[in-house]
Amino acid sequence: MLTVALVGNPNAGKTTLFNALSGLRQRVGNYSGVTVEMKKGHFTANGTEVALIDLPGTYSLAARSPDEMVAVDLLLGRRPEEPRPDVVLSIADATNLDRHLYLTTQLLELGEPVVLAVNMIDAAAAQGITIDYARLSQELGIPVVPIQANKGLGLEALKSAVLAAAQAGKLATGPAFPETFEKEVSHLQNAVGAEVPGFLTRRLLLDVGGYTEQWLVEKHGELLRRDLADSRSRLAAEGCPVPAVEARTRFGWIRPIITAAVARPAERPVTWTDRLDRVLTHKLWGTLIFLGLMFLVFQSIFFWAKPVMELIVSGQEAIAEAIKSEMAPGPLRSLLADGIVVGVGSVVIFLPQILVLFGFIAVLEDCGYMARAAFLMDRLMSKCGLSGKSFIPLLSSVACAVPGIMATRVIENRRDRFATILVAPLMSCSARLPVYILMIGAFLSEGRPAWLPGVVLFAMYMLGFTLAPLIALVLKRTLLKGETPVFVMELPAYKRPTLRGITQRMGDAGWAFLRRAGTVIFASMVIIWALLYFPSSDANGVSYEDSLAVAEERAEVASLQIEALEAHEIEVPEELEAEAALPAKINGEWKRNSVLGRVGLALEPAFAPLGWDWRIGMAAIASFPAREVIVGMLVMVYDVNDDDDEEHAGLQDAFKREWAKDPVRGPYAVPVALSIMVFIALCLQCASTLAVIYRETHSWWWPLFTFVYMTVFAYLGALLTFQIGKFIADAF
Amino acid sequence: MDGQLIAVIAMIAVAAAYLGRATWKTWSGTKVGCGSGCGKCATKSAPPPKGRFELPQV
Repeated sequence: MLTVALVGNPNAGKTTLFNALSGLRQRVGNYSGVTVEMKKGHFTANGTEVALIDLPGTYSLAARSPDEMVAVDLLLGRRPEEPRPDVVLSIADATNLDRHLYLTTQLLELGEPVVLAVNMIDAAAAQGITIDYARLSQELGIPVVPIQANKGLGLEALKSAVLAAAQAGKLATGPAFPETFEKEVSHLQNAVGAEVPGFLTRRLLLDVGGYTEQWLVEKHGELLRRDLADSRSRLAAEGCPVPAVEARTRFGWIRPIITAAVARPAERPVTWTDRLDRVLTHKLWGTLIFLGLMFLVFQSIFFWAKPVMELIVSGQEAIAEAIKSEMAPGPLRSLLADGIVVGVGSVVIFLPQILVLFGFIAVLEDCGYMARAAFLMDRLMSKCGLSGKSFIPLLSSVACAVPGIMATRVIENRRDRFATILVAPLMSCSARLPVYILMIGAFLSEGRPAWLPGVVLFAMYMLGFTLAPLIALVLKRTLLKGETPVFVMELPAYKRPTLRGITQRMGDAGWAFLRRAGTVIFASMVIIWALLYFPSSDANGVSYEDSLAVAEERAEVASLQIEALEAHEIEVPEELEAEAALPAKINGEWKRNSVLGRVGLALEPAFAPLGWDWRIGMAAIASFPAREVIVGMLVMVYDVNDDDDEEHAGLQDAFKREWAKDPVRGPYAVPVALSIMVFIALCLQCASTLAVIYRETHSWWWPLFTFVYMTVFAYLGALLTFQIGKFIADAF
Repeated sequence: MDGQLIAVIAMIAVAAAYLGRATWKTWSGTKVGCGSGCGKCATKSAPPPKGRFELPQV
């Protein structure tokens, strides 16, 4: 079997080519940094099995960040779990060939056969660029194949070229460095020993403060540091300063080749990308369009998903009813109907919103808009000590903080990476969406202006987007002091998103959501149900379930009598009203007497300043391992399916009904709902996020710090929201 | 003890064991996972394979 490594600049189309060759479905995005870890696939060419490895995009093999080191490690055969590649497949953008060939020249020094795939030939043709591939191949000394990876064009020729290169084993030479430089490399090679590959010795000399320098200086001590400094001084004195000597040598070799093989129009034609960029990256119009787009996304999430959501609710209710009618009363029936179906079902009903959100994210990413958004945000980020490079991980965190935090690996500087990691959980992830939708649907939707739900949802997301840079600013001025980084990012050409790409992203997100609902949320609901169910008998040893069954029968009779009296406009006696309300009274007493109820009531004074009762407080506490649990638990404590009136079915109506009876939550329902949303928006209720912060920072201190600061912020934010809301409600 | 109660106790025990396992795997497991927290794999990264040079983070 042959091993082929796929290497290229960010956004050169590596993952698209990888998917086209291997038939896999790795995620691609029209912005740099989508691949942060290597991926492996297989294909067959002329009967030969080929293992294809997709490496993270890199502009250079001068590794400065962990993701760039993955590529260098593998290419040099320094990863024992992977063999050294037989062929390196370099992919370059046809519209930016001169810049992309810089990396190719570094690959030529690895001592392995290299094949160049020139991608996006359609975009080059649209810009009037013509490339003489035979001449290019002759000048570079390696096979060159034109391809269009997204359409699968040129792939057969590419496969054949890879096989031929592996069989021939011909190595190209690449640019020649000045003799003085080579002399210094030999000198350093003696100092570090023969076990260090020559390629890394060159990188040691060239990459000031890079990975290689840190590693080798740590290994060989001060003597090597002095040797290195002396070598660099000698090179500077002889007119070959590092790192300039590298760029000068490589581009000096590339330029004549490009002149010979590539023809460009005298004037670069103005493309649609240029026209759109004039508006979308404009300081004022670009920002307004960005805000408008975000509002449109959130308004759509709220309204488009509603019909499907109602369908799921009716299905969930039908299942609960079927269980109740088929099974005898008892703990198992209660667990299945009130715990699992209602609890897990109440989380699953938010699946349509998750799909709509991820559909939008896929469209905006794939068309290339996200790169423009990062460019726009760079102005704001740089004022807070970060750069637009931090914006991509923050934006990824809108889906889920875990991949967002992992995406910070593209940030070279440790302090900037840590600052981004620590603020990434402030972004509203998809698990927070059900809580927002629930609260907005219950208290800020019916009888209010049509634009209000979208605006409130937008505001909840903007809360994270506003706070994150501010906290990053504080971190960069205190715990993580450092210079504001320079941001260099390629703005890719706009592309039409593919239906396959969008549905794949939606499907992946939906499946992850359902898998979580069917595992962790399911198990959590069982435990919460048990804590709410036991003890199942009152102080006199009478089972609540038995008392409830008797009370429900009497209440049914009482309700019929009340209806008859009201029809004849006769005053309803108090005893009859009390009889009708008896099931709710017993249920309330049962819940207050349960394990969860007792703990909640003991903690209620801590929740009271936020406008919460013990039920909301305990739901918030129970959702610390996974925030979706809050919705399921609220459904259980508010007895959503206990109301026979179909018009009042559903958690949103259960909230309205229960809160209306309450002296605090009745008059201040909106401030309480906002206080819950602010708490959820700012609190780090996700064990996986804490674990990934630990993994990425290699320290317990940073996850602990993030957890503490976010919990304090969440409590204070919820407190302020409720108290200010209450003050406003009282004033008007 | 009736059948329903026995079934419920068994389900609670399984759920508690599952959550315990998921928590353990998230923090202490050795298999690399995506970190989605579904409990099927670990969030923590795998130890570097033998023979690989460990490079310090910048």
